[in-house]
Amino acid sequence: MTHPIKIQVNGDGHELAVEPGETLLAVLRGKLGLVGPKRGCDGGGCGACTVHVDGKAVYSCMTYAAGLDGCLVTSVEGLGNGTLDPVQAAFVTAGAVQCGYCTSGMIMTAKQLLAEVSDPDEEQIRHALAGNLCRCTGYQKIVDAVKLAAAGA
Amino acid sequence: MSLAPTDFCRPETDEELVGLLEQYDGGALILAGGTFVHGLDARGLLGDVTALIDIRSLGLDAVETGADGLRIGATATGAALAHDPAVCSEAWLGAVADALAFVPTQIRNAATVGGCVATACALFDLPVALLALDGSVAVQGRGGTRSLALQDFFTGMFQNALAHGEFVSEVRLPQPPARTASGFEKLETNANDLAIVNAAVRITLDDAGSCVDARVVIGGGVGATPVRGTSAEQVLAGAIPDETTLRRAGDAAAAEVDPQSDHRASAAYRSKVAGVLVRRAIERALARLA
Repeated sequence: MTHPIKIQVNGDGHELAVEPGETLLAVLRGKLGLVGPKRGCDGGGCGACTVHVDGKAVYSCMTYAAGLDGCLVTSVEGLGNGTLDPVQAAFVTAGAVQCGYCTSGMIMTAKQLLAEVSDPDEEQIRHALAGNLCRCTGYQKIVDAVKLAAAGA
Repeated sequence: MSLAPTDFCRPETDEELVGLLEQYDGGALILAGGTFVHGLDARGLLGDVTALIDIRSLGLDAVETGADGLRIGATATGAALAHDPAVCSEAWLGAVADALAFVPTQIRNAATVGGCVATACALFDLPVALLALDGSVAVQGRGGTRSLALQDFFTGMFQNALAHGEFVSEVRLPQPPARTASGFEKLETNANDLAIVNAAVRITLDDAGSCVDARVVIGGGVGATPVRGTSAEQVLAGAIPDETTLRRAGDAAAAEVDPQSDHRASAAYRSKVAGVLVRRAIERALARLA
């Protein structure tokens, strides 16, 4: 039995009918065509699916869409308002992308960190990103990018 | 995910929730953050589940400090608890702050204290800290509310003392005497992994610096539930917690636990690590009293 929900995704309102066990990631990718959030481990272990729900970073692969009625969802596509968000721009400048699969999740997690801590030190950045894996192991440049974004903010 | 429930419910009152639990007759899974549903599903524990019941509309998300201690609503998230002023500043709540710092941002934002407790996974972190702090749970059902010590609530791996139709509404941590502090430590392979071993300690000192009370709890693959380190507690009781005492307490904990061997670690390794983590957890607690 499907469950009706109203959610805002990247500023757009959607009225959807979702299955009881359907995840936010499945809705974003399958129903709304937003493929920025990636399906990695599909079990809360890699962070590639990270999006914001009501301003907080969550794993969309383990967030049940049926429980999101009335929530505001932001995926990487919702950043920047037509141009690159400063965090996205910093990832480009720092060369913080190898295969790119983890990038949108890294950026969404970094966005929350920078919203809470305007000038994080390296330990705070690494701690905040601990739930996001980069299988290319390009962590140093990712950390550099977050520092760069903080410096430019 | 193989889980394919047919219903998703979001009750707005306790009565409605109890009614749903009775209606689905064991086929309902309460969720809040939902962050371990996949973990239960992957272990084949959700075969009978036909309904997911999201309890985040019940208004059970408050974290309140009172003269009797800290009361944590079942749907308070890890992030809300981590940001609570008492958890941020009180030495006796240090183990809670430590345990939550190990949790990745995304899980901390979604996972709830009640869910973390009710899941009764012996490999989780926060329950070990809550046990060391002599926590209890408020359990609600058709007959009203009853209070259960956490050590009686955990009855086995993924097994708790909830009766049919009951749910956890609150976790309570009693205010300890002055000069009390706690600490938590964990060994993990990465931030998203369950504990290889974890340990939490609550210690109370008298004015002369001797230990008048200690609670030691070890989790993460050392049993079907976290276990009390009673031998380590006995070493600490009445002693000045100096380096020698801490080593003896750690050694006592290592000798007492009877861990499992699995893909994370061997039993022998877990025993040794348990001793080290108990010692470090005590050090963390003592640093908060310095």
